[in-house]
Amino acid sequence: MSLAELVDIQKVYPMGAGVEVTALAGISLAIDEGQYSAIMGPSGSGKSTLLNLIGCLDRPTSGRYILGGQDVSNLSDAELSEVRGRRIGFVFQSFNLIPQLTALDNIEVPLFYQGMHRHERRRRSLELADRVGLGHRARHKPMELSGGEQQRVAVARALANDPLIILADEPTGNLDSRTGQEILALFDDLTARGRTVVVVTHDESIGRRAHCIVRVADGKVVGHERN
Amino acid sequence: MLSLKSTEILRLGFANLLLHPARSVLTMLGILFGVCAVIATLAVVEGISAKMQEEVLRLGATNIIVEAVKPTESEATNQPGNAGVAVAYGLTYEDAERIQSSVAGAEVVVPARKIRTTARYLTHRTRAVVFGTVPWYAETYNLRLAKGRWLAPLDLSKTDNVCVLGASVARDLLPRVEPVGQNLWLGEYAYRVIGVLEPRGSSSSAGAADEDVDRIIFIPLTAATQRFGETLLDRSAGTQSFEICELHEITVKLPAPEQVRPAARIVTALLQKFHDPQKKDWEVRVPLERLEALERTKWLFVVLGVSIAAISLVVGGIGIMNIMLASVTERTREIGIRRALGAKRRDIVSQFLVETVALSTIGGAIGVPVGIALATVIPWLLTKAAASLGIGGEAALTVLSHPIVTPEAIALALGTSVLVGVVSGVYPAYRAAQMDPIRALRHE
Repeated sequence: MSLAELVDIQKVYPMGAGVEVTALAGISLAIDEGQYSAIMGPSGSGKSTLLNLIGCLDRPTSGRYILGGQDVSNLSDAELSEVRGRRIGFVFQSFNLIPQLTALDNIEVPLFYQGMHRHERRRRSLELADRVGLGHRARHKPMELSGGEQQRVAVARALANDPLIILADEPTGNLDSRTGQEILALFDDLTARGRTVVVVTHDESIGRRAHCIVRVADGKVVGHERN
Repeated sequence: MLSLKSTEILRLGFANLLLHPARSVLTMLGILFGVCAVIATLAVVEGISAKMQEEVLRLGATNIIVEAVKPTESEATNQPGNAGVAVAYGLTYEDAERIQSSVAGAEVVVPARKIRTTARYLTHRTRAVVFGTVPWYAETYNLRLAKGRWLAPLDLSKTDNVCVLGASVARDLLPRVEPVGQNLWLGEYAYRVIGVLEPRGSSSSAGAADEDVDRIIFIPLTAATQRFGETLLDRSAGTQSFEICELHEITVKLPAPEQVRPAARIVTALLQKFHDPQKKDWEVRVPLERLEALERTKWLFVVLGVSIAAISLVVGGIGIMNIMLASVTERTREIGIRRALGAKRRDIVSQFLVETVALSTIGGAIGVPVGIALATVIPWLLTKAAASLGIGGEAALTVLSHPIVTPEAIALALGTSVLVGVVSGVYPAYRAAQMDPIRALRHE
C-alpha cells in the first residue's frame, strides 16, 4: 500500500453568486514510501492546491485521501491540525520562519505543539541544526541568516516531528542557484536516507533530480514520468 | 501533558509582550488607572465609613437613647402656668421607671441630667457641662479612666460631692496639679475630683447629647438633683433662661442587637402615651439604625466610585482589544505558520488570551499599590488644600485621614482586571484562530 493515496480528488471553490472555480478536477495519485516526487505544472494548474491537500491544510470537495493508512479527507479542523503536526513537514518558498524566534526555537515549533518537554526539544533541535549544516548559526534569528541558512532552518523544522512526508513548495525559488543546489543536495540526502519528499516546482532541472515527475495541468494529472 | 503545554504557552505569551515593551506598558496603563481608582475609592470610602462606624458604635449598637428636647418658643408659651417664666419639659424619673419595667430584657437603664455651668478651681474658671448620672454610665458608653476611679454606687446613695473630669476640663482647670483629690467648685458647692477620663479626641461625643466628652464633668445623679434643683438657670450666650427638666437623657442598654428595634418601639409607645402630644419634648435615637443607614450610604458611595473606575477599566479593556487586533493582523503570517506546523485553533486562542490577560493582570497588580499610595495621598492633599483656603482642614482630616484597604477590595480589583483581560482578548483571539492557514501563510 502507498504511503499517501489520493483517489479522484476534486477541489471546487465557490466564488459566490453560483459561480464555482474548479481547482482540482479528479486527481488520483499514489506516493510510495521513500519516493522523491516532483509535481510540475504551469501556474494556475492547481499544483499548489494539490500540495495544500496533501499537506492537510485543506479538505477535498470530493474524493478520498488516505495518508499512512488513515482516511484524512473528512477530518475536523482540530484533527487535521493534529495530522499536520505529527505527519507532515513543510518547506516553503519564502521560508516562513517566525522572525522573533531564533533558528533553534523555529525548529522546535512543531515539537512545541506536540507537547514535547523543553529540554527534549532543545536536544532535538540542536541535533537537527547540526544535521542540516547550520551548526554555529543556530542561535541567530532569521533576519541575521542568509537565505540558504534560513531554508536550512526550515528543512530542519520540517524534519523535527519525524514526519511521514516532507512537502516542499518551490524550495529554491527565493535562492540563488548555488544555494539552491545546496538545498537540493539536502533533499537528495534525505531521500537517500529513505525520507518521502514531494517537491512542487516549475524548474525542469529540479524535477529531473526526483524519482518521478507528476505533471499537472488544469486540475488534472496529465503525465507521470519516471526518471 | 496539557499543563506542560500551558506553561509553555504562558512563556510564549510573556516573550511576545517583552518583544514590544513600550507598547505593552502603554496598553497596561488603562487597566492600571482603573484598578488604581477602584482601590483608592474603596479605601477612602472604607476609611470614612469605619470612622463614622466607630463614632456610632461608641454610642453602643445595643443602646437606645432617649433624650429630652427643649420645645420651641411657640410650643413653650402654650404651656399654662409656666408661660414666659420657665420651660418645663423633658424626661422624668417616672419615664425611666416605666421603661425599666416595660422593656423586657433591658440590661440597664441609665438616666442622666445635664447642667451647663461654670467650674472653678482657685482662680481658674471654665465652661463645662455637668452630667448627673449613675455608676453604670461609664460601662454603657465605654468611657475609660486615665487615673483615679469612676463613680461608685455608694457615691450615689450617699449623695457625695464627688466628680470625674473629662480630659480637657482637667487640663484647663487643674493644669499643674494632680487633679485627683483636689476640690473644685460647681455652682455653690465644692466637689472632690475622684477620677480623670482618657482623652477621646475633638469630634467624639458621649451620649446622644452630642457633648464633647472631654468637656464633661460627671457627678452622681443624686447630687445633681439635690444641689442644682429641678429648675435650672442657663446663662449662656448672654441670655437667661429657666428650665425645668428632671432628666435629659435615658439610655437603655439591651443584651443583643436584634432586641433593639422592638425595644425602641416600646419606648416610643410609652413616651407617646405619657407625654403631651402637643409638645414633643423627647426623641428616641437608635445608634443601630444610624449604623444601618451609614452602611447604605457607604454602598451608595462604593457603587458611585466603582462605576467611575469601571469606565476607566472599560476604556483600558478597549485599548487592550485594539492593540491585540492590530497585533493579530501584524502576526497573521506567524499564525499561518503555527497552524501549518500543528497548532490547533485553541492553541492560537490561548496564545493571544495569555497575552491580554497578562497585560491586564500586570496592569492591575501595579495599580493596587499605586491606588493604595493615592488613597494615602488624597486626604493629605485635601487637607492641605482646605487649610490653604482657610476651611475646616481639621474636619476634613478627621474624616479622610485613615483610608482602609481591605483584602476584598484588592481581590475585587485584581479579579476585575483578569476579567477585563479575558473579555478584551476573546474577540482578537477568536479572529486569529478563525484565520484560514493557507491564506495566513500567503499574507505579506
